[in-house]
Parts: sequence; C-alpha cells; structure tokens
Amino acid sequence: MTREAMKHLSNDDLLAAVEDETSDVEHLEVCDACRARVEELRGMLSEARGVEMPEPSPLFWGHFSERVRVSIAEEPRTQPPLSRWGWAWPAGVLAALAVVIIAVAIARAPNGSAGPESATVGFRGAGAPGSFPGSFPRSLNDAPESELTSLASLTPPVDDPSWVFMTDLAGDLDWEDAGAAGLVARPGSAERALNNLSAAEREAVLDVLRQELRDRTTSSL
Amino acid sequence: MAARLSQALAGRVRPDWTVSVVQPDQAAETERASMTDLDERQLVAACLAGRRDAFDLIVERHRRTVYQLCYRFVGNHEDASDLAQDIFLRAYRGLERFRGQSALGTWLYRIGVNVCLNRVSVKRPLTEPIEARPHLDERAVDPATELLRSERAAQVRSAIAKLPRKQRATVILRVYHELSHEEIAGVLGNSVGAVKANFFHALGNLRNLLKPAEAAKK
Repeated sequence: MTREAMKHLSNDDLLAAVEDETSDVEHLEVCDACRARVEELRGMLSEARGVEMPEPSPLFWGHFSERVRVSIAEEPRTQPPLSRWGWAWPAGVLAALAVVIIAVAIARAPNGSAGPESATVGFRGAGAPGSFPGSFPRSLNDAPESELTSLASLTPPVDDPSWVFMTDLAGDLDWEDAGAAGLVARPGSAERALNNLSAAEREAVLDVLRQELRDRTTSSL
Repeated sequence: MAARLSQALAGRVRPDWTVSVVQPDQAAETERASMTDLDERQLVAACLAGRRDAFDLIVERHRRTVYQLCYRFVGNHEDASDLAQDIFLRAYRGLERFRGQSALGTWLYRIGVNVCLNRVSVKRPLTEPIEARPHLDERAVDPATELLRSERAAQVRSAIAKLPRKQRATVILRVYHELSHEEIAGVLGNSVGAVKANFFHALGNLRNLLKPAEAAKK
C-alpha cells in the first residue's frame, strides 16, 4: 500500500493510542503523521497529569465538615423527608395537631368532670405557684409533687391491654431516678419518634389518636 | 438505672417484643457507630428519614474528592472550599431527587461540575498564590528546575482554564479524577462518543495553547 493510499487513524483510534488502549499498532509503525500526532498528544496528557495540586491542612477537613453541618442546620429541618414521602407530611401534621388538641383538652378539663372511663393524663396546672393555669412544667423534675397525677391510679379508657400495660408500667417507675438517668423527654423527641415510625406504625398511632378524639368529643357532649 | 428498667421490663412484655433501655448518649454513639457500616443508599435513606448525621457521613466520605474537583476548576483554596460547601448544600437540598441509578459519587460529580462551571463562567479563575503551590522538598530538587516546573504547571493550569466548558470538565474528570469515558458521559449527560471527541480536541487545544509559551522559552 502506498502512503498516499493509506488512510489515517480516526480521532477515536488516535485517542485510544494516546491512552495506551488498543489501537492500530501496525498503522502507527508505518505512518509518520499519525505516530507524531500520538506522541504529541501523549506528551500533552503526561504533562497535564504531572500538574499537582496542594493538599489542604489536615485540620481543614474537620472545619469543612463543620461548615457544611452548620449550613445544613440552617436549612428547614423537615425538607428532605417531606419531599420524598409526600404522603407522610399530612399524616405527621395531623398527628401533631391531634397530640396538641388532646394535650390542651386534657389540661383544660375540670377535675372530676370526666367520667370514670376517661383517664386524666398530665399535670394539673391550676393554682401552681409561679406558673400559668393549665401550663405544663418544663420537665418532670420541675413539677411540684402535688401537681403530678399518679399514673398508676389511672383507669384505662377502654379495655386495651396495651394501655393497661403502659399505665401499670408507668406506675412502677421512679420518675426521680428516671430523670436523674436522663430518661426524660427532650425537645424534639416526639418529632424524632414520629420520624422513626414505619408507615404502618404511623397509621396505628393515627387510629389511636382519632379514636381518642372521638371518645373525648362524645364524652364532652 | 437502665439495667434495672431492662430487668423490670423483661418479664412483662409480650414474648415477641424486644426491649432495650439505653442512655441517650449511648444511643447516639451506638447509632453513629452502626451508621458507619451503612452503604451509600442506606445513608441516603437515613438522611431522607430525617437523620442529619447520616449526611455528615456522606460529606466525610466525599469531601476530599469534591474539594479537589472544585480546586481544579477555580485554582485557589478559598473559592474551592466555598464551592465544595455549596455543592454539599445543594446535594442535601436535592437528596430526594437522587434515584440511586448512579453512584452517589457520580451524582455529586454532576452537581459539582454544574456548580463549578457556573461559577467560573462568571468569575475567571484566579492564579493561585505562590505559597499555595504544592510543597515539595526543595532539598531534593534543584531550585531552578523547581521554578521551571512550577511555571510550566501554572501555564498548563491556565491553558485548561481557557478550554471550552465541556472540554475543561472532561479533562479535569479524566486526567485528575481518572473517571472512565462512560462515567464522564454519565456526569456530563453526553454520549461516550461525545466525551471521547471532547477529550481528544481538548488535548489538541491544550497543545496549541501551550505552543507560544514553548516558543518563547526557546
């Protein structure tokens, strides 16, 4: 084959040769133009690879992670889960609203007005020195002894073994020991607990709350 | 206290229940330790479930790569660290759009390249200060040789900065991050053929851009 008739390598073949991949080696042995082009680009690639970059101080990475953490902490907290689980946010909001409504209803209910089947869970706020009527203490440890309703004396609202179990268990708890051990609810605990529930568990919680609301509405009428 | 509670609970729950009582601090440590074993998809899922510490681990695993990508685009530490932070913030915001069809690293590269290209299009890359250049043991290298090498490296960086956007991104991903042509295609949203063509032309353009400097040296 004459040099004039010889077809040069395509750009793809030239690049393969530059990157030491498979290429038409025989052609490169006989074609000066292609060989020169490959050598030229191979030199350029090698030179570019040789350009180093400075390594930041080892302390930089810790600072960097902290910067990212702070910038993310300023983001709306629930954005990713809300966007991903579109169905979950109405349920979450509903559950949160239900909890608030129940808490307010319980706190405002006059003592003894509820029937024997409705349990009063929480704190009696009326007359508490230094606190607003109906308000909750910041934690169990802040609550005066007289304001704590004995959980053990509660009557289950319905014949629910789970409720019986929980009230029975709570009645045996030494709250001072629990508080000292750090086993008390903290701000955001309820939200975290809700976030950790599975779909089925959330549905079950919602059912309980709806039932509770229905019972309370019926008993107050 | 926790042990006593565990004992008290143990005999009272249903047989199919598992009860464990742990201190809050211990719980956090346990969760953090168990999270380090999670793969990237599980970390993303945990993050989407509201666990911000899961995203801390994602940052920890990818921060060096993301920073290096930014540095290759902008050529100085300050801008590179700002851009890298921005990339992680955007990744956090858009995490629910991560479908898991590509690796998390590839997805971060995609965000990173877009952020970097947008930045460098409005702000020309700065020439890095002398003190930011790679530190080499000068006892082992002749100072004159080192100076020449440093100048040449600056010329190459400058030439890369002058390449068209896609060519520049391709060179950075291929040469400095050693991504395959297929991976680069995934990052840039191009075909493999287009990536190869970009890379080939980028090398040729670099060669042409550096020729005047070589001629001046001679």
